[in-house]
Amino acid sequence: MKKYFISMLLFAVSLPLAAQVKSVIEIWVWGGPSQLETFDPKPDAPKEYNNGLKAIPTNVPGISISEMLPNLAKHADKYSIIRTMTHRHNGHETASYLMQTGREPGSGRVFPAIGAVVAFYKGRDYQGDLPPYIILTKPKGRFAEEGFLGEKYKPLVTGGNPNAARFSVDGITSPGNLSPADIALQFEALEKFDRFGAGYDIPELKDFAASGSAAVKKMKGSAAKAFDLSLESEEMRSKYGRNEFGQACLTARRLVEAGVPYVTINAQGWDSHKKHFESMKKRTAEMDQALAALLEDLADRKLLDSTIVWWSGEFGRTPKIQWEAPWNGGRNHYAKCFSALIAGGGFQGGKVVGVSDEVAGTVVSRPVLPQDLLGSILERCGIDPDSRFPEFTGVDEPLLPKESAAGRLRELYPVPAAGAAAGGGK
Amino acid sequence: MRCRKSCSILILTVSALFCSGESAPPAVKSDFDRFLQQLWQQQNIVPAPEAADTVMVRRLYIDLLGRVPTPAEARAYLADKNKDKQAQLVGRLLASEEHAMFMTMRFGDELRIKSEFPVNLWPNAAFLYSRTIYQALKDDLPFDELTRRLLLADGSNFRNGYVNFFRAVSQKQPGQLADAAAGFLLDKSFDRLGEEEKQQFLHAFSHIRFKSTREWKEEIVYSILPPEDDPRRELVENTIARKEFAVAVVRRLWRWIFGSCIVDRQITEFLAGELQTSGFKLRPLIREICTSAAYRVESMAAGNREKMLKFAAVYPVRRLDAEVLADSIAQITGMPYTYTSVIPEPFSYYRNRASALPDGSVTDQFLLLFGRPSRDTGKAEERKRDISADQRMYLFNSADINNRLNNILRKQLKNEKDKFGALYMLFYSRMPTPEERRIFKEMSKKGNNWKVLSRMPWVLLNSGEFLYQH
Repeated sequence: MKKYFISMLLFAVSLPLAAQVKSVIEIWVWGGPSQLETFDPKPDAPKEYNNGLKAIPTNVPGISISEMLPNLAKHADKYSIIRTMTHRHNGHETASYLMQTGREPGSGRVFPAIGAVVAFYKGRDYQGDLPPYIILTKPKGRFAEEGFLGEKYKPLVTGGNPNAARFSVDGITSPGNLSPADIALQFEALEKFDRFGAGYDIPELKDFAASGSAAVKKMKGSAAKAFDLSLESEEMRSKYGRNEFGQACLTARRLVEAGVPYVTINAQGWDSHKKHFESMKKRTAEMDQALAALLEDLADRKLLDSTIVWWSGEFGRTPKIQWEAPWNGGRNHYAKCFSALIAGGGFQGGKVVGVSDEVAGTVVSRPVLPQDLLGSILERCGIDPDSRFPEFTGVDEPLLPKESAAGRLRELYPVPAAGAAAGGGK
Repeated sequence: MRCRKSCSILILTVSALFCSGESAPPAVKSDFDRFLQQLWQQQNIVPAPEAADTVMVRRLYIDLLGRVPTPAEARAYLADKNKDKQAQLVGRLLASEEHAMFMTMRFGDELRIKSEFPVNLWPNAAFLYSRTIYQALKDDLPFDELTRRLLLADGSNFRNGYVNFFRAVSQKQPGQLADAAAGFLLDKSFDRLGEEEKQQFLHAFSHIRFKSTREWKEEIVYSILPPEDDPRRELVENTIARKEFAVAVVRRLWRWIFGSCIVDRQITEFLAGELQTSGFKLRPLIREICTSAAYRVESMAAGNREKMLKFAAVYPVRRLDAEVLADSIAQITGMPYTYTSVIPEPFSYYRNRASALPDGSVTDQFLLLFGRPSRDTGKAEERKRDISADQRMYLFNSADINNRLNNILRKQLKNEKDKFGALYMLFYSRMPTPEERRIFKEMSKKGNNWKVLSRMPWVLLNSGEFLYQH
């Protein structure tokens, strides 16, 4: 009873601050990134675990991360590391579903992913020309992320390449090969040739005309601008890295500026069964540069307090390296203990949640379950994870399963300024 | 009878644009036509004039095959001098595999043929279900027999496709099963049945059970009662004997052919009678509808439109269905779409038409945007035919669409002399009118002939005449 009271009080205390959170950027590290080569390095472990890789100190005393992340090491004050994510699904599909919805698969229902839930609740205050949930650039595609919330909350998947000369987003940006004069010409021709139903009073055709005018208005609006990276300086573009992932991060910042409530960057290629270290070298370099640039840029623009950035895969990777054929230096799927990162939106930076064992293979203390992580994000967005799904869905269930015994990440919630009795830490 | 005389000059010029022949009231060719004519007289309705051949050929291909006709198909029909050519074309289309495939899509929407969400039907069960329905339609299995096979089915859902009628219901309670059955038998939701009917339906499906097997995701659907005591049998036979059952079939077909079912009950009842006498064969009924005066009337007409629609005196205008639009664009541009299913691995790729996709879960952003039904409930309202700013913006602006449109002049019409005319045949199944040629000439005057021509595929695609069935 007392615990319940405190949690209610905490929720109430966090509300005024939570209301400031406007957007979430999810960096979905599809495939399962290795915890050892990112945020939970084990330099003192035997070589068959760490392959001789070292840890480097960060700008926060006492926190070290993998030497593969030198840029992120300079910004550890902006994010917190969760080293004890844990669940029981080692298959991509089931693990993705769990990490995205907080639900065990196989219930006979498809629950909506967190992006759709945030888009649903936050979308009510958002009036922009862009959809409330956008994925850069490829679909996650393993299940219907809108779940039973309906097609309206299905993410817009941009396609295209943000690092190309022109980032083309089908239907939103113009096709690119046409000059403004060509476009004017085709609309002029459409008006002259399309005389269908003229002179008759047919309701369907009135809707047709109205939809055309509304589309033209939208096209002239701000939607396409959010994807126009030529409006950024060369210096800014290089800072994020001139690769697809880097420019996707830059686009995410532009989308957040445009007010889009939920943006996912689907970072692919982390399923490193074979030649793990070779592929990690490239992936981590791009990720390190882009994520550091994103956090710094958001902070510079005073957007970090109103934007949550979280980074995770569906699981991590086996601590012991598989040197035998056919893997030749690979790591397998591993959900028992892996790392995630969270920043912004009032979450405190410069902290580490949880302790893993000497090879990052088991949780020693403070396990964090998927629903704890997702619940914390919702709560910081001002959405009560224990409230029920809206009635129209016909699903009388809370947004997320009950939090685990260790609970949501309250140790990272902002410390109430006026020194409320409950406090913000543990 | 020459209703046009009283209309304004504006309407005269515009209608001249769309019907190249002279407009005359629809001819009386069958008992159904005679019935309609009497009905119209009673109701004091002047029906819309008979639609031109160019309109009819497009209509028939879209409504029966789910795509616009190719220029060759349209030309063949327009050149055909046979007086009976419409009935002949309907017969040919109905006998085609394409038609059976398209009807499988229509049935699939209502029978909830879909893998995974929300009922965890495994893809191979969805394929079998789809294939089973296709085969039944291809064989023109009488509808009463199809009904028996579906509603009395039992066995493995991997081995008997029909049993998925029960398996593909989202919750396996008698109420949900009864709702699915009421939808199929009477085109009604369970809530709208009478009290007594409700009890009968609930009773009939309260003995259905499901059990899994040792094969991954296979399920057995069975009744706990021996076949002779199975109450489903009595319910199904009694319902088939009711006029309501035949009316429900007619309503369904009417909805598929005309896009909605706001039509007067006297009309559906007349056709229901014909269906009963023909032994529940669907093809003769579709032939009857698609050669009737109700189908041959123009979509544009002066008069009280609402009333004319109710008495089938004007053809309803509606946006092309998502799949029809995708398949028509693929055909016109010579660039088929590829659809991908990510469940289960390894991924499956479908290079077939959108309307031939066997599984509601296999989809893409285009089909979603244009309102392909999700097949979660099987209700007709799931299919959306409204037009939105987002849809228009996609067609105006999409790089993919533009890329496809560029293929038309570059490849499809490379060797055509009259490219302007050929474009009209591709999109509209008709040649341009003199007025349209004049506008084209006028716009091309500034020496930018090619420039205007190169924008024409975009113009035609985005026009009402292409995007709407009319």
